[in-house]
Amino acid sequence: MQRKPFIQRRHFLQAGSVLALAPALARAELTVEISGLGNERIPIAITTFGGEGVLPKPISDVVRADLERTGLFRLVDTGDQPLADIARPDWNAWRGKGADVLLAGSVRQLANGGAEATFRLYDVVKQAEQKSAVLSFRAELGRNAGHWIADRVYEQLLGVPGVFSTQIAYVQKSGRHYMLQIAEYDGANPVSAFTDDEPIISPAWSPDGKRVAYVSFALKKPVIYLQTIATGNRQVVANFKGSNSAPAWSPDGRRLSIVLTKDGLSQIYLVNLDGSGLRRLMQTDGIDTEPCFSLDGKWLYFTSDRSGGPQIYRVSVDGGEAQRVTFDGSYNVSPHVSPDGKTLAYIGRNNGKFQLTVQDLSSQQTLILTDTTKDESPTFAPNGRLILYATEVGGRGVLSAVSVDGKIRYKPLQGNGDIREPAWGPLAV
Amino acid sequence: MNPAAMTREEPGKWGSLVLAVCIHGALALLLYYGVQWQTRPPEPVQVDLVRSLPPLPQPQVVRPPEPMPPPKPVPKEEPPPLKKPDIALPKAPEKPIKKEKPPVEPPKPVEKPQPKPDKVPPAEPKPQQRSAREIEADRQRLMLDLASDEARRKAQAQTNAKNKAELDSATTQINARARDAWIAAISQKVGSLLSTDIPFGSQQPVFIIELLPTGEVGAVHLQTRSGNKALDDAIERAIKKASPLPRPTRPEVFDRNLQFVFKPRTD
Repeated sequence: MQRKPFIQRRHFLQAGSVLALAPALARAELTVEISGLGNERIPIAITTFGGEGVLPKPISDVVRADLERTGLFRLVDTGDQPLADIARPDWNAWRGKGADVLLAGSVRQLANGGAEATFRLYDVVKQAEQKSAVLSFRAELGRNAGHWIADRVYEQLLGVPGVFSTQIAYVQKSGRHYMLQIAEYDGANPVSAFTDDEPIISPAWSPDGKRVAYVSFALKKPVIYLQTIATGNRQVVANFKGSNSAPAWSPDGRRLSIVLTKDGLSQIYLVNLDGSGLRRLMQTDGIDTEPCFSLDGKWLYFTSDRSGGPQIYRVSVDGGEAQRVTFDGSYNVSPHVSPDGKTLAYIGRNNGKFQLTVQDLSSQQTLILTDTTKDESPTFAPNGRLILYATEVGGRGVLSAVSVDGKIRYKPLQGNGDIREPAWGPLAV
Repeated sequence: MNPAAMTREEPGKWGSLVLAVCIHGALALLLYYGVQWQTRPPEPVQVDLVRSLPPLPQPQVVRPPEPMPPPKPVPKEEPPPLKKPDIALPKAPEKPIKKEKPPVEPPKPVEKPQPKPDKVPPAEPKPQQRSAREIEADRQRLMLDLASDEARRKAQAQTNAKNKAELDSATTQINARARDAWIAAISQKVGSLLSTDIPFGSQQPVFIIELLPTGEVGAVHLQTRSGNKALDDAIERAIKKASPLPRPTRPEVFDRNLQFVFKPRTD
């Protein structure tokens, strides 16, 4: 009730400023063109949240770590003390510290044992609040609350969703054991969804993020399983003669594209989630594998050796003639299409190095993103800004990430043992 | 006034009248063209006033029907002498008879005033005895002089215009360079303050800013949205943070209103 007059006055001022500018608009002549953006990271001040000491993990620490890890933000020192009044920041003080943006918040404990966090995001330069929200959560999930707030801040300041609340799946080998791990986006707090002494490969998230399809050798042969994350229940999707591998979800989540050898060499099939409706897509004499749906679900990108060396092709889900997509180099495998459908990531061999490469699907321009030598299994972040991939460091498999333009490379994610086969889950709903 | 002439019988009255009318017509034509030639330059002209004409010899006047005695001079010298005297002395009651040529008609008073005395400037009496050829020669000379003067004036004007154009061009180039440098400095300063990796939307964002003479940024107006509010906000922050903007080296290129167009980096 108290804010209504303020909002009305602000609108009045905005209207006044537009009127004052009317003559200027009429005779603006000189045009300054600014091509592209600089490399300035967004200077953001994230204060300690008052009362967050009741949580196992301070929310402000989580938010700072999330945003700083992106490489897009520069943290401004705020000291240890929270703001006395998060609704009334001292603009000049924060401007003097060099902050463009200020995030302030507070936490209070609820009677039911839960907690409630309030945050306000300010544009210090414009001296205006940009966003605010109140979030209730269980105290032990304070880290998740921090990710959630970081997502809001990221989206507000960059215009694309944050991925701090998403999860990744990967396969970790520890000794003789293979574990299908589900972890936070940065590899923290992994949980084993499935463990076996036989290899596990090719995890793939369902579009709703509730299930994972993967290949297990538990039956001494590659078989495709479908597992629900929350319950741990799993079912066999494809256990045909020979190899069953490389599951890929259709965008509508109603079927899988899989690779079978039941008819000879590896060939691509479509199958419903319950294993019914199996349909072979093409009749070729070569090896077709690693299918990946396009954004609209009408195309399948896949690897084939039909032209000699392995290259990436695409074919309509209704079958027909395949079209070659990659032409640079003699070895290009493991296609993965970006969430916006505009970019293809794959592993290309360059001078004996297997490196993560991206190709603009409209211009055909390619860009090698890494300087490592044994990259594998690229997977896009659901906001399309990052690519997670497996590589080797010191003979051990690690997961690393890089921005799609290759400008920001991230440290290998947390995790012990030999880590491979990453798959980035969808945006949290 | 000669009383003898007034009382004498007029032998060729009607013939003289017709002749007078013809001569006056010719005189009118000559005036029409001749006056135009001579009104322009203030060239001195030779004028013979005919106010005190001597009395005409009688015998010559008695035989008007015989055009024999002076067959030649009559047609040649008729037009010029008749032109001016009638005008210069419009109200002279005496016979306005030419001085050296024998009159073709008997001297008699002109009954009515000449039809166009007011068409000729009275201050410029026309020469009586100049031939058409001379007048034409004078006119040609005058025209040549005029053309020469005009050509000189044109040449001078062209030279002046050329010098001015060269000066203007040099100034324009200097100003253009100064303006380009100014724009580049502004672009560099604002662009360097923009954050990396903010995706462009569907359009190139355009801002209109009002600039104070000190270079400080006044009002900032978002004219065209990019389609990504985060980018629009970041640009507005960068513009305000860049205040004061660089000032031009030449004050005359300063523009109070600037349009900022942001384009995605192409590298």
